[in-house]
Amino acid sequence: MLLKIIGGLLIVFASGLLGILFSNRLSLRYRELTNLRRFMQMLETEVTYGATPLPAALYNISNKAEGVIGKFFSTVSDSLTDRSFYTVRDAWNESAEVILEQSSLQRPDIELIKNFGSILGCSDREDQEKHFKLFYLQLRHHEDAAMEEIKKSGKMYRSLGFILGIAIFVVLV
Amino acid sequence: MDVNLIFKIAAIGIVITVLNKVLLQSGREEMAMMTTLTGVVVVLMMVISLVSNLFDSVRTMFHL
Repeated sequence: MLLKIIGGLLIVFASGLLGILFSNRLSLRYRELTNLRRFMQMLETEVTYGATPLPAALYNISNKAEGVIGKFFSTVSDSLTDRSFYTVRDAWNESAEVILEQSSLQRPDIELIKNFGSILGCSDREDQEKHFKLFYLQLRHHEDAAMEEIKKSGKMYRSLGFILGIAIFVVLV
Repeated sequence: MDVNLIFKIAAIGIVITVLNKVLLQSGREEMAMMTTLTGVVVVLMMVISLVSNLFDSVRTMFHL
């Protein structure tokens, strides 16, 4: 009897934690998107007003940013400084594939970020500024979608985990 | 025939109802439908042997 109760508690806790994990991933995505937008704004300032070369600008930002986003910027900067890629676009794409794959960002977010890599550092300042603005707008759309998702599914995942755990326990006993 | 089975079915009923409510509230009608169906199937699996027992006893009682 005691063993049964312990096992049941384990099942309920495990599935409840799984639900919390899922809902946390949702809110993590939102946070990473807002973070990314903030640091892209810094990058825009570096590019349009500071006229810093891209590797240096990316390096400066990677020092300020923390987490996956900071790692992403530092990887791009590194691969630009040690010339492992010919173009910014290749370096940007490669880092996006490798680094952002480990983050909570979803496939469409990563595709959007990869798209921006082909524009970065390819035209004059005013044009870059316009592209940055467009990129913010698109990021904002993704943020809104992520927020919507949190509101809709965040609570559901949390309660769903516990309830499913209880259901499994009841069926097994 | 033990009473535990009845309690078990009642517990499943309660859990499935709560699940249904949660899913409906977050706007996933199909999922809610599916969980309800799953609950029905699980309970059916539990009682199917008892039902067949009942049929058997009815049959032997009336010599059919």
